[in-house]
Amino acid sequence: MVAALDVVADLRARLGRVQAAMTERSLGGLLLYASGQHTMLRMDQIMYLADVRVLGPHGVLVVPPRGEPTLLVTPRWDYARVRELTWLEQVEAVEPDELPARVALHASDLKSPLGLGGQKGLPAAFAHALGTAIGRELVDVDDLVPDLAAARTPVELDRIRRAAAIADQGFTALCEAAAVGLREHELAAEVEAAMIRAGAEDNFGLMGGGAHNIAIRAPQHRALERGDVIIGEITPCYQGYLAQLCRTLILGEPTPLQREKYDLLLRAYEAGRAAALPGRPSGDIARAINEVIGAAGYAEYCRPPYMRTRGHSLGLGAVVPYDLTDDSSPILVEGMTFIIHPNQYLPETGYLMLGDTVVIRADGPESLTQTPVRLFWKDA
Amino acid sequence: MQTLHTVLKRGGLVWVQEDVPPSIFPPRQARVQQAIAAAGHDAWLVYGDAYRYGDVAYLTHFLPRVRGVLLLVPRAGDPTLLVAVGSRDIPAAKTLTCVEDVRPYTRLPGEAVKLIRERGLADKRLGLVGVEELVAVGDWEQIRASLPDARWEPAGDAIGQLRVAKDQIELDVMRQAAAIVRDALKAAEQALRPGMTERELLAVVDREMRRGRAEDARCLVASGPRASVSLRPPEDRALEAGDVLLLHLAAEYQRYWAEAGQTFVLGQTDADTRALAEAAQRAADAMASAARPGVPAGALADAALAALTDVESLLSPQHATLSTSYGLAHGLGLDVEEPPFARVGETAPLGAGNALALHVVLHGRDGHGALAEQTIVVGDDGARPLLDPPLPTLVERG
Repeated sequence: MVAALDVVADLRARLGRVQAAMTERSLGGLLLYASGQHTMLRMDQIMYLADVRVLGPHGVLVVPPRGEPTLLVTPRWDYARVRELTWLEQVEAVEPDELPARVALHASDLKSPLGLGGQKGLPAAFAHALGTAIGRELVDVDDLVPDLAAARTPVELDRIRRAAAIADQGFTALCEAAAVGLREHELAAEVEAAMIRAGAEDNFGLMGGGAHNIAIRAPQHRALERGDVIIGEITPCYQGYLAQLCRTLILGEPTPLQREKYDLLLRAYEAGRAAALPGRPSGDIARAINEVIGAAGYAEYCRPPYMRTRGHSLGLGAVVPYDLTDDSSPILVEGMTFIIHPNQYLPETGYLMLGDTVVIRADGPESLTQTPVRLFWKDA
Repeated sequence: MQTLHTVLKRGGLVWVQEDVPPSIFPPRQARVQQAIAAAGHDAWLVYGDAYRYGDVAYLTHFLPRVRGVLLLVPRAGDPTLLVAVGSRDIPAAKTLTCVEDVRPYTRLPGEAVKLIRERGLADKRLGLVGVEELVAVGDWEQIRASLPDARWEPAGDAIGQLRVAKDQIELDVMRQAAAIVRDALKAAEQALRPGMTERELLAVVDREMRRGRAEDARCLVASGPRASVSLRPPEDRALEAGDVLLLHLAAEYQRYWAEAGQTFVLGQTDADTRALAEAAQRAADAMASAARPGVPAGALADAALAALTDVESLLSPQHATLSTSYGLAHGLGLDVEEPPFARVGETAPLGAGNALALHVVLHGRDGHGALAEQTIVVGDDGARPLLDPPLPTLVERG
């Protein structure tokens, strides 16, 4: 549990690794940027070190090669929250138009070269304003922090485990609430509410139902019908960290064909898990899944436009190993967290979903989500 | 009001054409094309993301759930929309927009450059709307480098000027958004009790807004001792008898936002809280009274601050000035914060059809505080509430 872990020591160790990497790269300082737009698609590098998500629109962490970083956030009224949540001593909250000058002031004592991370979310205009205020070139080191964050720390893993448990509760709520006549957005609302009560602060949630789904999508206003295949991608966020669960629920007894095709996903899932070993390239997981599904006659459905990825990193947004595709090359290491999901469109059944968040251990993947690995259905 | 953004817009996502008819979009696109011609440009690139999507939605009704969307509007002819989804998701994306030509992208620069070249615009004058403000610097530099002969020019706020006065269709949709927020505040009133956590309260209001068809829902609170400090996303603090709770909600329906908030007291209201709530209400009323066409937006802030002078002694010394940091009033509609902004000294004049969110947040001493919020619409003869009657500022939950 988080309470038994030393969160500050964990964060200080992360800072130490980052500062060591700065020294290796001969950086005189490091600026990490995060906007207020939190996304599963990129890493929040400020959250990784400061343990707080900025409200935005902008936040910058000024990291010296030694000593304490300074966190600068917007808007000004968010100071008290940030001050309470972060372990860092030096925090400033300013209005957005004041931020470049304040960053420049705090960076003025740092030697060149200055590195800049978090650029994938850095808008061009703010980058220009920041560069002008600082008055010297910023070196692109967008990979520095994500590379160091490939394996989860104990505190990170604990939070992802909690998020995974919340995802399990979300799917339980989905199974309980799903009913003929309930609208998709109402079902999503019930799932969200259950997860918020369980501690979720956010959710990357997609959910749809129909007799033949083409892909996962946002909920619509459509009323659920008997025989609907409800697919859900449930991704709660707990203290900044995400975990994901993918499952399929049928409103009514599954047909023999649906059972047969879901068994294919189950076999592919096990093949993917068997390939998820330390030292192996992450692409092995995708290839193992695609081999099973392809051998069943669905090779063309393992590629775009039907399918893109067999999983992706999870935790603090996208970090190594990123997407799990046939050609992905990152080597798996102990402590990485990601989802393995052999979700698949099949012409006979439509889109079916199955996936769990795992952490890589020495002997293979440990599932963090605990929902049984099977096709779900309920009387309708 | 600024809130903590979500990783995804996760409410029901459809185009309700009974509320937002397709017929409103061709005239909007025609007006923008006139502006493109007037600026001497050949096309505009309009960018929006999950937070700032107003300009794109005004012309397309499209709503990005995550990442961004790029709209190319030529001086003549049909627009093209680049959306951050896979090709399998294009049929679903097309159900959300009036634009016929909707294309997927994984990486924006490649698809944007391809589109600009395809349209014969690689050496033309291209106006930029929201591009430099929102597109990631690496992506933008890559686009510019790939099209060295294009002339990129800021297009100014022409689309914003078209959006600033809401028409009847827009106001009707905003009323539906306001009704979603009102129902959630009523649900909060029913649910509030000592022992309930802020997060449990969030579950109540979030569920209510999403079941009410909100596409997005936001919440800020300040309870107990924090009523003296600042609003923030709900946490695990358990409410206690006697607590003051400031609750701000916002909901988006059919791309349009509404905001509202109330001050709840879990028990009997004491003199300080009542005085703060009355002052907050007076300040909001003063802004509503001052809101007329031609009046500088900054006059609203002046009116509010003048109405607050007699409670200065009740305010927290550390947090008294936060009222202006939250923003006392701003426009809202397709963006949750948009012009006009009623900052002190703001000279931009108000106009008929402006929809303004008024929010007065006062942090008092020792757990006292108050929040008064309402949305008004500026008419030729003054302002009226978007949703009538407005909810009371102060609510006791004994």
